[in-house]
Amino acid sequence: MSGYRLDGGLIDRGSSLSFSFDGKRMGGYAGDTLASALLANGVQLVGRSFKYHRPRGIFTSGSEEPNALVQLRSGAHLEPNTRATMVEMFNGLEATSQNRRGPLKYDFLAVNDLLSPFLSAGFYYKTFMWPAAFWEKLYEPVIRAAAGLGRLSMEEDPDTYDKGFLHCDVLIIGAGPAGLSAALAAGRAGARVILADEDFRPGGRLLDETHGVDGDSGATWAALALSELRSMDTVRVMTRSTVYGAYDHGVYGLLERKTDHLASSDDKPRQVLWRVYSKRAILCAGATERPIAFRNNDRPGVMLAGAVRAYANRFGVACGERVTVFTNNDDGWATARDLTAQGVRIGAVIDTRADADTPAMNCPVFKGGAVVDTRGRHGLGGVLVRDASGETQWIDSDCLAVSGGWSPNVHLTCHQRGKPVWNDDIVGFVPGGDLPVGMVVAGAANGAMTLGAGLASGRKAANEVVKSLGFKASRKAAPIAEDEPRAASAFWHVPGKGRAWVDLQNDVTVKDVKQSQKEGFQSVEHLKRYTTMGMATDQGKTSNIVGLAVMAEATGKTIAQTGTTIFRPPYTPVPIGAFAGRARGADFKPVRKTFSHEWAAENGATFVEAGLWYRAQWYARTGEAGWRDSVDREVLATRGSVGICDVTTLGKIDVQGRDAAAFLNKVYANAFGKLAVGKVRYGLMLREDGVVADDGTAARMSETHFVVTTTTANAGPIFRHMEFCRQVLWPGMDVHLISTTDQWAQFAVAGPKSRDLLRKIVDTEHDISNEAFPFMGCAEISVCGGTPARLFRISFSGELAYEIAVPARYGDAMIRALMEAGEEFDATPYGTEALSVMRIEKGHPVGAELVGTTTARDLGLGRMVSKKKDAIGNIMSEREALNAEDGLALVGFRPVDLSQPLAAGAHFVADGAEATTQNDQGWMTSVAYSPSLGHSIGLGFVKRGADRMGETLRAVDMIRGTDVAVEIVSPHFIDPEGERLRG
Amino acid sequence: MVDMIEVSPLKGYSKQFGTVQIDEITGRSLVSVAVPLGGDAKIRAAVKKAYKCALPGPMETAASKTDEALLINMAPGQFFIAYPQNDPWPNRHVAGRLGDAGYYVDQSDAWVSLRIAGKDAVAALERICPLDLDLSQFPVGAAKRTGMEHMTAMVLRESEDAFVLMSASSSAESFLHAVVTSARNVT
Repeated sequence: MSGYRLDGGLIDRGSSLSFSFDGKRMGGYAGDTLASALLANGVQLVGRSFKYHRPRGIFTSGSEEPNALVQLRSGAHLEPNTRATMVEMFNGLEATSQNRRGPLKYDFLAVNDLLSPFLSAGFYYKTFMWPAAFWEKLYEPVIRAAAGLGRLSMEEDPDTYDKGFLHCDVLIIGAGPAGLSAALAAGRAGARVILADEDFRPGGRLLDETHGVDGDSGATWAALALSELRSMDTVRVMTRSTVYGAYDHGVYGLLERKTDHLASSDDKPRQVLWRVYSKRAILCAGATERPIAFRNNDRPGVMLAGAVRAYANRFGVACGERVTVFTNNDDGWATARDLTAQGVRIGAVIDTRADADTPAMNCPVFKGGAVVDTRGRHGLGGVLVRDASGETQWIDSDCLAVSGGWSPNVHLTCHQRGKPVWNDDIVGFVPGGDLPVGMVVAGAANGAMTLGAGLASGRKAANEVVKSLGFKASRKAAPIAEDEPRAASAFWHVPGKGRAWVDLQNDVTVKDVKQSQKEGFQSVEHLKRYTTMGMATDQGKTSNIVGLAVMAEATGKTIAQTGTTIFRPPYTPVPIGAFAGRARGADFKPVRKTFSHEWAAENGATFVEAGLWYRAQWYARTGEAGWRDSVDREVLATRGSVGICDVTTLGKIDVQGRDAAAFLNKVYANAFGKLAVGKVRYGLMLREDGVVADDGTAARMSETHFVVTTTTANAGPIFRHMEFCRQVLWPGMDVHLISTTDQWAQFAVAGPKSRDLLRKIVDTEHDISNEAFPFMGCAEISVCGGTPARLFRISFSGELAYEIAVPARYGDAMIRALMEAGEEFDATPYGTEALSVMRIEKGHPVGAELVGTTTARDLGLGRMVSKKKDAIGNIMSEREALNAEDGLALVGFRPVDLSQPLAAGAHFVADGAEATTQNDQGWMTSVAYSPSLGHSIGLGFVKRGADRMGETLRAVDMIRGTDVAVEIVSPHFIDPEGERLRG
Repeated sequence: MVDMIEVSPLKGYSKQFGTVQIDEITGRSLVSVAVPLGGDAKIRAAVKKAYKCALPGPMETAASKTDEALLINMAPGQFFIAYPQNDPWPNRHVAGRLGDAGYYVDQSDAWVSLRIAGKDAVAALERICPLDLDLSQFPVGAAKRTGMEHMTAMVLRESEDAFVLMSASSSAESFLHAVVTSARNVT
């Protein structure tokens, strides 16, 4: 023994490491945790408590740690609320204490402890009631600043995180004795096994105890078992990996800490969040030791007995120079035994059981006794023991090892609302019968509390599981170990004056629990919310049962009747960054680009997101002061000569089959059965309720082949709708759908010179004269000397216009070819803004008009809804309310004062009327400045609009504060007769 | 007149990341074949005659010497034929082989194809691909549809450690980024 270091243990003494705590440099070894290294350096005080800022030390040796929360690293890498017991030591590790004002030893906010009579459970609900204005501005900020855990860096997390998917026959959760035994059995049977353990060294309590297995030490047997498992192709051993949640259908959430144990992540993901698909899962999560509550049981140096043993046996660390043991069960005695064997002095052993059959110890033993108080400021100095006769005496001790028994880790068994059941034999909750599908439980997690029972239980569970999956179970015998004494008793807290702590992380005392019950919080769930017991990072792993026991005592119920709060994922904290994975910043969602994107970027395009697509919004040119200059120029150039716009993003659906025409006739409200081959028709699609779903075109390429277009936004939903119709509504039709949106790069070529331009591109064998290829024509052609293409004579701009499509790999070449061919016509690329201006000038509806309540009649397209056929929505569109004479109609608007701009979203009210909901007559859906007309124009819905041409209304926009007189006009501002597009 | 130069979605991307090689596959035609209602026997016979192989079962592929084609079956009543590009109108080319036994749609440009190969290819794919890639579940020659990083995808296994990944061509850059990030993260 050197200082607090003992001989032995599983640390690598040949690998010395340096770390710092609160700026002080210390030494440790590979295989240490931060907690074991701090204890080895004699550090007991590691933090301050949540509410009272009381000195706190290391309490456990595992993930259940409530006290020893520290901040790791610095700068943007700072990570608060990290359990020192789970931090693997590495060279250069930098840790600081948290939740303090000033130095850890002299925390200014320790004054809270003096004010504790005023800060009991629910104090903030009662104390800070008036005035209400102070709630958020004063009380909450002050309380939050005074109480809490660590602090965030407030900088962007510089680490990266990843996600992944794993599959297995059997997921084994926990690599303690039961988990290793189960993994060996399942692996030997040939099953695909994932064995996951939160520790960096698998073995669980085998590493912490001195029990033997198959003639070896537990740690040696664990190492041999791992060696065999790692040699199996079908077994994957995952360390530093916590299964944090059990989800539907055998899916488990698993967090693997990839680089937390390294000084640098080296640009690799720090953690990976795995989704594990399992056919079966064997939960071997072990058990957690629980404390006993007594006065001042929270001082640094008061620890769980199993942890004190673990530090001695695994890490070669004595948690004190003179250790006293306080237990209510046999297991506590193992701590006294192991420490004695290591040469650590034992102050006394106090067992609450007067009649316990206990081993002989070379130290004072108090059967039927209890610890009733402790002393010490920043660390334990002594414990006050009351013997069976009621006499008390102080015993000098700098460490008190407390064992209140062990609680099976049932958490994951409850993630799908399963309820654990009370077991008197082990004095704890064990898994109930209602487990997540495919899960079985083995080992201490299932109440098999001895080593021998755990090993056998793991093997048995695995053999049953693999048999159920069709494997032949291995006949190799179970590892042999003795069943150590495990008698337990129900002793939860030492009655008496003063504060006895139940939940160390949330500063909840026995008195708080009782007070909560007195104030009417009878349900255990209410108790949790009112006192905060069981909240925060440890989720009450060490405190819950003690709290329930105190509550049961207060209510006169049993613990079984009191029940537990619901266990929910995650089992231990999962960083938000891990849940986000790669979905951060620019990687939040995929980006879709058209094949002329690069050309557009080269030519000054500003892009706009349209769903996932990036579309050119306008093309700025030198000398233009802003987007309006660019858009006005693009509109005028298109209407004056020819413009080119990439319309690839419009949805394209290939429809083929003997019944393709009949299918479209049912899907569209207007007739398609008689559409001639080589023709395109505008189509209106209704929902079942008769409201417009989408509009687009359908081009008939052959008797059995149509190409349907949708709006960009509805490409996916309409395809899905049509597939539903095909597969579910009319499975007897011979019709087949496939999306071709990405297959074709498609360009609108619009304007009076569009035909002239295309004649230079289209191969000469294809006649595109007005006579041979009139408005609404379509054909498969070739361009530029044999490149396959499709040509559609359709117009969104209202001009003589075409849409030409080429296989996407020619998209870049096509835009360059079009621009080169169009040079003599001053061909102008235009973006979505100019597209929008021109469609408003033509009165074409888009998403702004098709808002989910719009009928064909509202759009002035009522006559398109055929009465002669059965199509989706046609009957329902005839409902009376949708055909009322005072219904809305889409019309155009122009400002009375032509110099005034219009605002989309403005509502119409009569001249002189108050702008109220009662007086609302409709709203403006789309507006634009029309460079063709020289003033603003708008589209909108207004009651009886078609009958009110020339009427004046006010367009009131209460958000922007505008009130503009507008005149109702035709929505067709340009070429209302459609002569241009037929020219 | 401008040359109509073909540009693949990723311009022939090719890069090695440790033990993982990622290449864009270009110059391949891909035609979707839809089977007419009630036409299963007819298409099987047509495939047998034209491609000298049986129509692969669901989530399987079959290689043919005809056009060096790979037949990929992963949906009821529909399969793909992939082969080295040899005709400007692939749908007409396949129609020429199978006649009126199917409906044909050129999908060559709708998809980007990546080959990911190497010792750690499976480890890389585990980070984005929800499929079970164990050889017992996904043998060589198998093909499955899935989604990766919110993008639809097809996965074909060429060998124990080589896969072809196909996804929408418009989001090819995002798809490549996802695959490359995975390779970087594991190598």
